[in-house]
Amino acid sequence: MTLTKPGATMDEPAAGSAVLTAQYVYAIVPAGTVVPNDLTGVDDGGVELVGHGAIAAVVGAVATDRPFGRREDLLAHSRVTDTLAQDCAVIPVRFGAVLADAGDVVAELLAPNAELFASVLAELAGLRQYVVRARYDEEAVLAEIVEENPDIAVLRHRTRDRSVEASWNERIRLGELVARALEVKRDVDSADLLDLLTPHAEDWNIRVAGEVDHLVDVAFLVPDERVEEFERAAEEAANSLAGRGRVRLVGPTAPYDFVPGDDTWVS
Amino acid sequence: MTVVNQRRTGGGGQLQRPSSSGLADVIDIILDKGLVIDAYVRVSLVGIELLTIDARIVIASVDTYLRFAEATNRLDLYEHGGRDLTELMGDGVHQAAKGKTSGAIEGIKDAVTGDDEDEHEERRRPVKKATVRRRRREGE
Repeated sequence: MTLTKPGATMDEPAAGSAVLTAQYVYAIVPAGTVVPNDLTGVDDGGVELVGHGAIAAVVGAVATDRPFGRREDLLAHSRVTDTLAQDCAVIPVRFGAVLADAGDVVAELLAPNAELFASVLAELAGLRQYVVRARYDEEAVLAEIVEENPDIAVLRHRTRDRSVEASWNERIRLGELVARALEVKRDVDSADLLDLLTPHAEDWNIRVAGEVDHLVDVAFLVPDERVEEFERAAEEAANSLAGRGRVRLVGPTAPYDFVPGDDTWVS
Repeated sequence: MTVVNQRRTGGGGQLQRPSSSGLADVIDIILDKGLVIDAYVRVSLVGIELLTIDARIVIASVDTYLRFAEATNRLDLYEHGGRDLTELMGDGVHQAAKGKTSGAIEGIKDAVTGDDEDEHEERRRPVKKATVRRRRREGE
């Protein structure tokens, strides 16, 4: 594929003050999708469709002569894909993709993958993504861990009233044991949560995440007609964790976790 | 991290539903998921690849262990009689103590992710993903 260089196109090639622009790609949608008039993308710019047969790319012109990836840029990307996802099937594109111009959007993105994108959009119709994020209440769970593990209780007792320097090795050991105990707890609690929620979803994807209070992050693909029961199950999960952790339900959003992988299409 | 306005849902009322997506809810989705269009195109915009590691935290490190140890040592357990800790932690004592002892995790997050309100472009040095992603080991 032809590589797109920053500033590969210019609105006014001859002018010294030319603005370097490119087409920022937000998502792939079915052709004929109506973009809400008041929907704005990156830099508060307009959002439009570039169509090709049964599919279309949702794009917007962006200036490429500035650093990208600011807070507003990220939120704008998310706003566009999630707004569209309320009304139609959407294949959200990962943040930060630009092509030189509308011609390239068709020639390099849509045309080579038209069939695949159309079939994925058909599969995603009527499905929405929700993300369930469960986080531990650190204090409550550490208390459980001390209670349940005599080794940890002993080390805690030994290190508690000594300086960090004087109890360095024991502290490291204590922290390591606590981290491991937390891992075991995480496996048990996340299995319980999945048992509650997966019966109400079409598909799910457990996220890899690194935060230490992390219990589990799961993206669910939920059919429209099962949203209510899914939300009830999420409430049940939150209630069962009450006092030990919190559950957040984010969505509906575009199905970021359920798009084709890198190896299945032409790029 | 970002404080997001929340509304309580019906029923039990424990579930948190952010009324709008904050950066914290968005960042690891749109940077780590979604259709990937050509890698060269992605990196052609300054700053993007650098951002992708920000939500990742090193877990198996001495620093992390020390924080865990410190948080564990701060707990005020046995003075209250030992058993039924979960109940103990769930009542007013828990609420009162929460502010001062929920710090270890937030501290680690802040250290790695920096200030959520940071409006400037990101120019952090990229870190190898393999070293910062916590991989769940099976059987543990």
